[in-house]
Amino acid sequence: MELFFFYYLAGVIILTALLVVALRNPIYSALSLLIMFFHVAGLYVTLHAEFLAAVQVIVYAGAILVLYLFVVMLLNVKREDRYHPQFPIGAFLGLVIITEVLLLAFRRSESGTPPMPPAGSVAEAVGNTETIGDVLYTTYLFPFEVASLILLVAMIGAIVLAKRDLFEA
Amino acid sequence: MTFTLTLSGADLLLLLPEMLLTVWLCVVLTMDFAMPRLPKDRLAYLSVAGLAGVLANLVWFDLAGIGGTLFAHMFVVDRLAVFFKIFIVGTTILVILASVDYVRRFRFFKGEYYFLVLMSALGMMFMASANDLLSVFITLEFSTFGFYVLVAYLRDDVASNEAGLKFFILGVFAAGLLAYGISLVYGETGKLVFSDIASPSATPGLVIGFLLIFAALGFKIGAVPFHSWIPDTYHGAPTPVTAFLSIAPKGAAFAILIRMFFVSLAAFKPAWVLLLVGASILSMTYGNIVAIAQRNIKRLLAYSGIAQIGNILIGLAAGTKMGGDAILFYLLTYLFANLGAFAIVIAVGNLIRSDEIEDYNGLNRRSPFLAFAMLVFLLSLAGVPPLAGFIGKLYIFLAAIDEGLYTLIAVGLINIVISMYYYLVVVKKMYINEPTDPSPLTISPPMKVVVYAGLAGTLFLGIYPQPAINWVVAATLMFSNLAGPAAAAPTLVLPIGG
Repeated sequence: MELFFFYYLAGVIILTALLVVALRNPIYSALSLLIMFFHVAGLYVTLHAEFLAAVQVIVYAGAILVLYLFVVMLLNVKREDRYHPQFPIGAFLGLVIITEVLLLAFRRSESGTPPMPPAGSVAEAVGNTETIGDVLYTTYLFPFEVASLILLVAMIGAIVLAKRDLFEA
Repeated sequence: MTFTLTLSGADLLLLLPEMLLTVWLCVVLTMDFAMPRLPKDRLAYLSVAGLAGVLANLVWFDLAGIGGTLFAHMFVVDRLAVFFKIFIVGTTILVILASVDYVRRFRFFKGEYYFLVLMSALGMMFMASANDLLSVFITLEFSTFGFYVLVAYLRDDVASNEAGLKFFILGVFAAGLLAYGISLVYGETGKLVFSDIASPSATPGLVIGFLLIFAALGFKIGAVPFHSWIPDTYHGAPTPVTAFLSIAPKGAAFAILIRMFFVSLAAFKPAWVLLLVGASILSMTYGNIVAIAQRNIKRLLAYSGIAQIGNILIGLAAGTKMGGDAILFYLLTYLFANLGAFAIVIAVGNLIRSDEIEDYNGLNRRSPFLAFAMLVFLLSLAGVPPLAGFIGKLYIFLAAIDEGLYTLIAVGLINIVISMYYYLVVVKKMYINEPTDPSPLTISPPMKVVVYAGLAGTLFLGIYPQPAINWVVAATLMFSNLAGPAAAAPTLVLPIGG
């Protein structure tokens, strides 16, 4: 059953990832990216990483993709001049990544099993969302609180830098 | 396994200065929009009053020797942290006083300016206490966020926009390097706290990780070769922001650098000495030589700032307790002299609306006080006795002599001579050249306070440095176990590729 889900999710991920670069219309590309994000989230669920799955949906599908769509629509990207000039760079990077994947695959078979977290760890006992919540409000309370101050300064800064109707006043 | 957090009243006391400042900056922000008719100058004085309270609190910490760590060693209050917090809060007070006239030139968001300055100061206070890589990252970003906005504050001004954009893009890139370096170090050691990541062997991942972290911090202090943002950003930013940016973040970043090199990497001293010697020589030489060609006083001070950072790196390269003392003392002398010099630039810029060195011609005729103060500050930056800069340079060179870094000292001495030239060119213009417009210049009371504070600091540290030396020696007591002579350090094994 688990294997079936893996193949379904992996297949859809590869298909939609290909569609992202193959489709001519940028809006369609963005939407296939959205489908890909959802299936990656599904992959996280099968790995018992529910928190990561939720973050994947909220941050990537919810926030970042909407930003993509905004940019695509605002800039009104033309269909024809999209990825052709960058093709050699893309091919080169793809080659590098494929080499890396192959290297990793071979090294794994040499050095035996990859390191695993100790059995019966915290995450398995209470679920990793709860664990992350616990850690965030105890051990990492300090960076968490500082992050709230960062949001405040970013908010004020955005208003100061971007508020528009000032010059009419 | 459960995670618990125990915070007693005594623990919260350690956070008192930061909490005071947080509450105070919320008060400033609220007053700004709740009372639109309140003159914005009042907000400046209100901010200074709050900072004075925080300063008093910190001085009490220092005198009473209050210290400890919080949040599983993420946040540390020791005398080093308290020193840097006093340094930052003192700088912020002077910068806010120096801003009052300048902020009147803004068309909008005069109140938010003070709020953002306080926010950056708060971020840098957290930086001074950061004791693990996670808090380093988050506090460094926090303090930089305020600066991103402050640098681009003059929205009508193309140079300020360009400066803001350049600073932002390069700053975000540096943040990426920092995060990548931290992830490598964490991946290799599984630890984040500085004292825990002192690894016995230098694996390639650790070496690359620490180099990336050093690059990000080098960007923050503006050491060559990570300096490319400095001239344009300093030039385009509002001058009080330039003054702030040239001093306070450097201090906060040196707090982190000292902790990283002296605590985490103490065992690898022979390797990183070369790195720091290189960065120091490059910074001094590049900064001083390029400064000669500058026609704008802000750019001149930007390049002289790069060279001064090179001088401070000498102390870090020495890698001993005395090197640490010398860094702290040098930062104090740099604070007074550089802030003083920028205060004159702000005052003159407010009056004649120009930052070109040509327009300093005959400043002595127009305002003898400003010309004299500028003379003192520039000579202190150059290191002329009996001013503070002389003692600072002497201290830092003595620390390097103890470690046998003779090449570095030779380069440093040559650079003093080079720097003397461009500082004295400004002095010559002020005192010998004829002014094109001989009308006298007057300066406002808050600006006078800043200039007097700079003069007092520069003269006091130069003539009677003993109290300050005692203070910095006490602040670095925790490093007294550091290896003194280079020979006693453990021999380096670099098993890269092995």
